[in-house]
Amino acid sequence: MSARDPLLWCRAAAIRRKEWAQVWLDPSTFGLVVLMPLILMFLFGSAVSLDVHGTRTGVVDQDHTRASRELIATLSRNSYFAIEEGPSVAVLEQGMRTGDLRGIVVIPDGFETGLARLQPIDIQLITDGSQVNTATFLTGHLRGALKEWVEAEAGELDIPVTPVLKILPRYTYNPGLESRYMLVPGAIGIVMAMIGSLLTALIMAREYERGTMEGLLATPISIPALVLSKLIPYYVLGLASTALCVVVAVFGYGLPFHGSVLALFLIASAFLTAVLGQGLLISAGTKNQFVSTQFALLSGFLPSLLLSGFLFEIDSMPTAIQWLTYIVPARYLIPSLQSVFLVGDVWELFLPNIAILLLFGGFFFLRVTRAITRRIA
Amino acid sequence: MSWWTRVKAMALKELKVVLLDRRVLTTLVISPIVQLILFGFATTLEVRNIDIGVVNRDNGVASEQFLAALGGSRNIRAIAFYPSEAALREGIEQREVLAGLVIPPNLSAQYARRETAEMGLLLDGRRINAAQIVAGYLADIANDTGTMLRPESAHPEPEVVARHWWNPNLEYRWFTLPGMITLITTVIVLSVSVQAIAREREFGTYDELMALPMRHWEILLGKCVPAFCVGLFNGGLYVLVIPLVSDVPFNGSLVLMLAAIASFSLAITGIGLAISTVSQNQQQAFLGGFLVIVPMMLLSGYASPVDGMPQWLQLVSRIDPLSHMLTICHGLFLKGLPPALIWPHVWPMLAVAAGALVAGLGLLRLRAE
Repeated sequence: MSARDPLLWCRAAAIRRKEWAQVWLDPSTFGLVVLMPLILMFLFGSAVSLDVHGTRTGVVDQDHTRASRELIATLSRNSYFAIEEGPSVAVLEQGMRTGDLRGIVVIPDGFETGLARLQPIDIQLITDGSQVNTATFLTGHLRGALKEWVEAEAGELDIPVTPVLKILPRYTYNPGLESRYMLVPGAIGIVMAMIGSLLTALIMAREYERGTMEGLLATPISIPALVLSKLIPYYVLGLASTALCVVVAVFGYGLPFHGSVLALFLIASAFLTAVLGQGLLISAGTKNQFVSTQFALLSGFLPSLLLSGFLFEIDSMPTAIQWLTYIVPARYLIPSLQSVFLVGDVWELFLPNIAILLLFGGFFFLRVTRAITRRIA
Repeated sequence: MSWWTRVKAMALKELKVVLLDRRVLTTLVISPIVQLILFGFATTLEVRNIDIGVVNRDNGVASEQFLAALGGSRNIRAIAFYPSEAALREGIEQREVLAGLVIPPNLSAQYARRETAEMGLLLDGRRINAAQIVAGYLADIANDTGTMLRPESAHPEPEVVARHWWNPNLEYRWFTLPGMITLITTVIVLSVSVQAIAREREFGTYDELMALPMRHWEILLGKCVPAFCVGLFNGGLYVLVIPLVSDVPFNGSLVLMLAAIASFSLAITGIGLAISTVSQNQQQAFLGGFLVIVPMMLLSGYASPVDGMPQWLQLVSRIDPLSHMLTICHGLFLKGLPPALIWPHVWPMLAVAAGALVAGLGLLRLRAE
C-alpha cells in the first residue's frame, strides 16, 4: 500500500482507538499512570531524605567535669543527634549490635584538664560501619559540633582562634539545602521511565503471547504506522502523568518552577520517545510478557533509578560503569529536569540532551520496525 | 490421594512451567547476577572525581598555596579557570563544574595582615548532596593550607578519633552488596509469584484449576513453590558469589542466613500470590506487583536511612519485609550476629508471609463463590 492510501489514517486511528480502549478498560493502567506517580512523589518528597537527623548516638562520659557535661548538653541540643547516655561502652555495645544505636561517643578522663592546659585529649567515636552513610555523616557532624563547641569555649579559656583561610559556601538554586529539590524532579524522571519502558514492554509481547499479533499484522497498514499507532496512547499517558507529577511537585511540595512549560514539554517528549521505543523494542524482541518485564526492569527502570545520576553521582562510579551510563536515556533527562525546575530555561543544556534522546528514539523505532518486518518474512 | 500427593503434583507442574522455558530460566539466572555486579558497584554516595571552577583575582602566596593543595586532593579531578564570575556562573548552570571558587583580589593582602582570608564558593544546588560534601572537602583543604601557611596558628584542639566497627575502612560496597541480595531477590520472587494465578486467568485455564479435586489452600501452596524456590536459589547464590567477587566478609552463620532467606522468600511469595489472586491478567499482575515493590524498596532503608523518615513511616517500615531482610543481611555479613538477635527480624517476615497467604486464600475463596 502506498503512503498516499486515503484509508491509512483511518486504519491508524482505528488501531489507536483499540489501544486506547485496552488502556482505559484496564484498571492497572490507572494504577501505573495515576497512583504510582502519586506514591512515588510522596515517597521521594516525604520519606527518602538524605538530610539525616535524630541519629541515635550513645555517650559515655568518663570525665565527669563541667566541660564534658557542657559538651554533652550541646550535642543533645543538636537536632542531628538523639543522645542516650550510658555508663560504659560495654553496656552500649548491645545497642550497636541490634542497630538501636548508630554510634558511641566517648569523652575520656582528663578532657577538661587537657583543654585548660592546651594539651587536648581527643574524643573517641565508634560508629556502626555497616551503615556507611550514617557513619560518615555521624563522624562529620560530631567533628563540626566539637569544633563549634571548642571555639565557643575558647573565648572563656583564652585560646586564640582565628582561622587563616576560610571558605564561605553559597548554594545557588537551592539556598535552603533541601534534598527534596534534587529528589522530586528525579522522581518525575523515574515515573516517565516506568510508564515508558514497563507499560510498553508488555503491549507487543501480549499480542505475540495471545497470538493476536498475526491479526494485527494482517491489517492493511504499514509497519511504521502500526508502531506509531501503538505508541501514541502511551505517549499521551506519559505526558499526562508527568503533568500530574509537576502539579504535585509545585503545589504539594513547594518546588520552584523557573523554566517554561514549553521546555518541560520538549524535554519530556524527547525522553518519552526514547523510553517508549525502548519498551516496544523489548516487547517485540522477547515476545513473552514475563521475560519482557524482567528485561524492562533490568534495562529501563533500574538503570534510570541507579545509573542516571539522580541518587548517585555518575562521576563517582567506577570508570566502566560511567561508560555504561552513556547508553541510559535517563542520564540525559535528569540534569534538564532538575534545571527546568530550579534554574530556568538553560537551552545550552537542554538542546544537546534533547537531540541525543531523539536519536535514541529514532534508533529504537527503526529497530522495532525491523524486528516486526523480519518476522513476517 | 493424600493432600501431600496433590500439593506435590501441583508444585511439580508449576516448577515445570517456570523451568522448562529456556528464556525464562536464563532471565532468572542471568538478570540477578548482572544486577548484583552492575548496581552493587555503581551505587555509592561517595563523591569523587569532582570538577571545580576557579576565578582567581589574587596572585599572591595564599591563593597559590591553596590552589596547589586543591590540585593535590585525590577527590578532585580537574580545575577549570574562568575569566569572570559571570562565566563561572554559566559554567555551573550548564553543569561543566559542580562548584566554583571565587578568590578575591585582596586574599593574600588579608593573609599578610593576619586577618582571616575569605574565599567564596558557589555550589550547584541541583546536586545538593554532592555539593554539601564538596563544601566539606574544601573547608578541610582551606584548614590544612592555613596551618601550613602559618604553623603557629594551629592551636592544640581536641579532635574526633573515629573507629568504624564491622567495616573499618567504611567501604561503601560492604553496605551495598549484601543489601542487593534483598532488592534482587524481591524483584525476582515477586515477578514469578504474581503470575501464578493471573497467568491461568489470562490463558483461560483458571476454571480448570478451580475444578481440580483440590482444596483452595492446596492450590495456593502448590503455587507458592516456584517463586519460593527461585528466591531461595538466588539468595543462596549471592551469599556464595559476593565473597568471591568482592572483599566483603561473611561473618555470620550460613544456616541462619539460608533460614532468613527462606522466610523472606516466603513473605514476598505470599505478597505476590495475594496480588495474583485479584489480577485479571498478567499485565495487571506485573503492574500491581510493581506498585508494591517500589514503596517497599524505598522504605527499606537501602536508598536512605529509616532514621531520617517521619515517625509514622518508620512504623510502616517495620512491617516491610525488605527492611528486616536488609538488617539481617548486614547483621550476618558484617556483624556476625547470633540467632537471638536475628530472630526479632525473622518473625515479622513470617508474620507477613502468614498474613499475605491467608489474605490470598480468602480472596481465592471469595472469587470462587
